[in-house]
Amino acid sequence: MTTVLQFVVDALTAGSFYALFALGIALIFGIMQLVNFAHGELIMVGAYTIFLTQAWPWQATLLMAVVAVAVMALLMERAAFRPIRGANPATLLITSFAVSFLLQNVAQMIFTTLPKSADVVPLFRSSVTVGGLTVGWLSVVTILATAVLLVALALFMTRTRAGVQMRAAAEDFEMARLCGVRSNRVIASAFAIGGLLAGVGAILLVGQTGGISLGIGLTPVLFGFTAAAIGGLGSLPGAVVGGYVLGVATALLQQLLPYELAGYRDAFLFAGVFALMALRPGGLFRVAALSPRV
Amino acid sequence: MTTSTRPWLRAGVLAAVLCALVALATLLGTLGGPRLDRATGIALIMLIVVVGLKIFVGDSGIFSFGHVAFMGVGAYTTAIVMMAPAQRAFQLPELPGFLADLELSAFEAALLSGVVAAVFALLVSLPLMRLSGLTASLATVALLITCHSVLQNADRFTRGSGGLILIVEPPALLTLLVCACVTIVAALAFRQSRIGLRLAASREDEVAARAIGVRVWWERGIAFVVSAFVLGVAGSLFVRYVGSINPDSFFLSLTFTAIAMLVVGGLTSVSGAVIGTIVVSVALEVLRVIESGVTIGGLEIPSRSGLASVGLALVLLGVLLLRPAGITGGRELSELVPRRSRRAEQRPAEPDARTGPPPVPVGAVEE
Repeated sequence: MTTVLQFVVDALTAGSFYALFALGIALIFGIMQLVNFAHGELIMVGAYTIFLTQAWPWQATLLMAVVAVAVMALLMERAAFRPIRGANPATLLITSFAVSFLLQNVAQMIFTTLPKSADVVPLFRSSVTVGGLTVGWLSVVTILATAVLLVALALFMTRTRAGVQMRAAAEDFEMARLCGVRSNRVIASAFAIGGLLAGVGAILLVGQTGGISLGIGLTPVLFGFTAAAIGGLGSLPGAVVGGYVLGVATALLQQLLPYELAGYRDAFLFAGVFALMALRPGGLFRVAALSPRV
Repeated sequence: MTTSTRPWLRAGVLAAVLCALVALATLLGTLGGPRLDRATGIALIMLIVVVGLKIFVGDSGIFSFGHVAFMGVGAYTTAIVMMAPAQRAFQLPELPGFLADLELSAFEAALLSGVVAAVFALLVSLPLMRLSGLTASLATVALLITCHSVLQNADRFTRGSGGLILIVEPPALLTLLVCACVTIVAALAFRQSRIGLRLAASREDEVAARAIGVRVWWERGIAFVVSAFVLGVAGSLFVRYVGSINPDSFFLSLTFTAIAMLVVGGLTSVSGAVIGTIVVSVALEVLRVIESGVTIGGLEIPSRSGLASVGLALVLLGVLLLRPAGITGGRELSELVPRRSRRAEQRPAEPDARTGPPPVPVGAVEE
């Protein structure tokens, strides 16, 4: 029983992580067909902000991290993605690849390649034991924070004017513009929300490992866009489901793989993703607006 | 184009011009001492990589982020089969018996590397060619990560993240130059072949191409396997040239450099691949010199690691934003010079409009 519960907690924690990153990626993809590889560097910006401000009270540090990431996301949109809006998805993807490479190397020039460490919230390192089950506070915080953010995002998307406009833009960008949706504003808000999610993700990530390096965003972004692709790129519920599916898959592989194959976990995972894409190219939740029209 | 031999003739002339260009660049590269010699060698290998990448990406219109994996497969194959048995016993003691006492020549190893990469690509292409557009590109990312992870963990064959060291005579610059020229000729011939033309048609309009009998997956699959073969050979040359490899050698950084070269030049033409490689290689070398700290006109620029990569990213971003179809606009050099065709003589009023097929609108929205 404890093993099962432990498994559930592990899967939920990993799934929440992936869902956070996948949502940020899916949100932007849905509106402008951009697979934002530089989402990983947003996480990196968040992590280094935490490093720079770790002397502050922890509430201020965390707030600063989220704000810095959101600002960075807006800058990125303005400088690199706005000028080539509407280009084909491959060109957009290459551009985001270039932005990612740029930011990572600028960070290398400033912070060098030596890893840094930061201990933000000491609570994250402790754990609580309930009836034989040991759960890290970080897991609790990750699961709860993600749940809160998901509910907030869902309310925002369905209940507010900006959210409805955003969904309309994802459905049919041209049509939405004709109906009076301002493209610059809606895309900028999508980037801001994506940045917010990445900022929270960065906090949780640094809380988990305590280490900060240039490549800190790589694994999350890869898992994030894998989750988004599993769910069906561009679909927000798809991204969340994809995130949790990926979380369960990682936890399962972790449990079931024999020791000598454990290192291959990610190989199995991504080979599975490759197979899933081949069998169901649109992902679990196919987005009608994205399938080619003849 | 008529059914004459003229397209082939034009391709032949183009091949000669491009090879001469590469030879000239190589010659200039050999004038600056050992450091520049090495950069020239790497640039020639990158040329093979980029032209090989163009065979699939440029003609099919599907962006692949996974091709560097084929280069990795080729490089590891060569490293394993060319290593001296004593070295092998030391680096890879658990290698299966039939590989343990193998010692192939450089040529055999290059060929084998190409074939292994091509067979691997064939297996991958069976599911991959079902996909189109962005999904296919993302699947190639999954492929790259999978291969990287396998290379890191298959200790028995790859010595994990420690990598392999291969001490052999590195290929001479002339050999690399010849290989690069052969690749250029092969890429142009492929583009001019029946399959290449059908593939290019499917890139322009997949639905229309299907309607006139192009199978698409078949043409794409062939191009994928051919370009994987080229990348496998490039990997073989690479490991012999640099002497040591690890899984990170064939991951995002190299992928990024190759993509930057192809996109900067213009990804739908061989001329673009060649010019992009030359331009980016030169830019990278200049940036590396600055990176290691120089004094320009009394102004001292301190050494800053990462500067070269920042410069490369800025170059790529600049090209993407200002000239998305690349320096050549995706056209071959031969299409840039006015053609003396009968049509042109009849319509002297608009000579430029007849100089070749319209440039591929890389920046166009896919509907």
